[in-house]
Amino acid sequence: MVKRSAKISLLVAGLAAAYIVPLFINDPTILHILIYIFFYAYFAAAWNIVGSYAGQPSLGHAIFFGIGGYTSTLLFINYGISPWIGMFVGAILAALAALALGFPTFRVRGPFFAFITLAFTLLISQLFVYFHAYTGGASGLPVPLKGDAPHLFQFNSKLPYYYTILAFFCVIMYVIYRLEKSKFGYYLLAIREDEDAAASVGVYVFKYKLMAAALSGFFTAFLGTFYTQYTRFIDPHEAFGLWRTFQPMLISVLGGPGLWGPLVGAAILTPINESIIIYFGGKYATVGMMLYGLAVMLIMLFMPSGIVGVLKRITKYFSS
Amino acid sequence: MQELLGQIVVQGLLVGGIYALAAAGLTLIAGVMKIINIAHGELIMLAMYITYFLYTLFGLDPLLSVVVTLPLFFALGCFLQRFCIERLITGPPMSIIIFASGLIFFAQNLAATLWTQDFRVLRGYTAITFELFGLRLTSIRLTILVSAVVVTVLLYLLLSKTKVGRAIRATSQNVEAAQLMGVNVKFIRVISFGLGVALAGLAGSLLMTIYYLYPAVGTPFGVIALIVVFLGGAGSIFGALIGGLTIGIVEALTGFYLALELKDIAAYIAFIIILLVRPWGLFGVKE
Repeated sequence: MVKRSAKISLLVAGLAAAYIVPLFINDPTILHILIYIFFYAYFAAAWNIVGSYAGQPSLGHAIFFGIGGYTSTLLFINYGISPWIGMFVGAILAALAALALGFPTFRVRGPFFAFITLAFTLLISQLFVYFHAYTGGASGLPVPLKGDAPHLFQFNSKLPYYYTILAFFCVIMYVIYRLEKSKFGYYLLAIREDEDAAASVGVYVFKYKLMAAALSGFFTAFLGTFYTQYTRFIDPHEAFGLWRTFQPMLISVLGGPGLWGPLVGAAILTPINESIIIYFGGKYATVGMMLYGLAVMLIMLFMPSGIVGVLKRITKYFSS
Repeated sequence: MQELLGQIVVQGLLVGGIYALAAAGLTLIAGVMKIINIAHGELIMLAMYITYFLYTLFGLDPLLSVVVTLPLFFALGCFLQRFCIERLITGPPMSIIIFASGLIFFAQNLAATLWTQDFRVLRGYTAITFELFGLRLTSIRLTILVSAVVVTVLLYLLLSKTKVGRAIRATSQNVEAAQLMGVNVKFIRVISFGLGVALAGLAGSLLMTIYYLYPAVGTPFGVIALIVVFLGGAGSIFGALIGGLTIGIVEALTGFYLALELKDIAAYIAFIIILLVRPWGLFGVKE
């Protein structure tokens, strides 16, 4: 075990590096990749509350992502409300949506749950296309450009976006850290390990699953707003597409369980994925995603504890 | 009006046959292995591509290409079960889902990489129609409905009359007891999964005659098949048939009386009601 003080100094050094290093990076491509590393790490971390800690493999998190992005954007377009405020409205709506979706879906378990949440994602996507008068339909919604307007969550350079997502990431890491140490966190682990056993010792399985879903949905929505402000566009494909649906699960699984899994997974996957898109163009993006899919299958078969698990085994080997 | 209603119900039944066919393999696997193969729709999609290229490259009729897809997908299913699912079955329940998610991702992007995002369609079959009791029917859709019924009956006979079928049912009821009675459970799982995937292959070949094809076409099929399996009750072969036809009629009626765009949503709403009221399905057994 690493000593507590060593851990803290490592954390401070890491944070300082994350704060200072981008100041010396002039290449927007690298900054873009750094932004997406924290973006995906945040996504996987927020998903983990339901997907990893409570053990409920949700394929419905794109819904919360989309609610976040659409709510802040619609409030901005229609009422001029700053996305900084709109994102909290989106988060609350996403938490409510998580409760509403959890109510029927948590009645079934495991693979059935995953598939049903996937079905709901498709349904919501269709609803957003159907109510095109309000949502812009299949062609999506652009965020009205206001130039460099920090109070409206719009910046002209990438650096402020980087610090925003870094701050988001620190918040979610703190939430997960507290969750791991809390009674609620232990209840979730008990549910993951054995629902019936957890219920038999008096854990309100259904209630805690719903709470986990609401918490997870709440934090996922912020990411939707961030993404929409960063790319200045949202449509049903970006919000609810296959990629968005599987993203958090893939990163979480590749990284491995625990507090740092999402960051490890995102740090390894994002540069590969983004470089494929940037240097080879969208045409070869499918090759990258195909390899992702293959990697997930192979990881499940041969190293189910993810990259973090492998790293742990390597360090154990060298320290013994 | 009466005639129109009849026509709508018949259309619904014909579409329902498609759903029932897509769901048959899924419910078989769900019943025996207590897992749902969430990549079922992607397997249907791959079968559609194979059927498409068998026709465009070799001129093989889509209905005849069943002789290729059925054994090919049976082998694929056996392989998946023997070398992948079997390894994961003992692990945490999440691992199978994540594996299948990887498969969905892999299959869709494989199709997009190899065959682009273009829409493809085989023309010819959908144009043939005939009239019966004043109702207009599309021959190919009727063929698919009949195939769904035949598949259901054959599956039922297989499960109830043959030795393998009895072993499959025994495994689905109680793995340990089946093992004690000398059933090779591992082998039975390979056979069942192979059969389920073979049915996805069959469905894909038949569906290629009427649907347009693109890499993501599998997901809606997979989802509708899931809804049908839930409606009928996981593992219930006749339930899948009835469930498929029900969803087909519900969709047709919604499409006619409310709005065409809402017809998919009607299936979901029926599904949510089932989940809330009878999560073990109409013909399933409560655990």
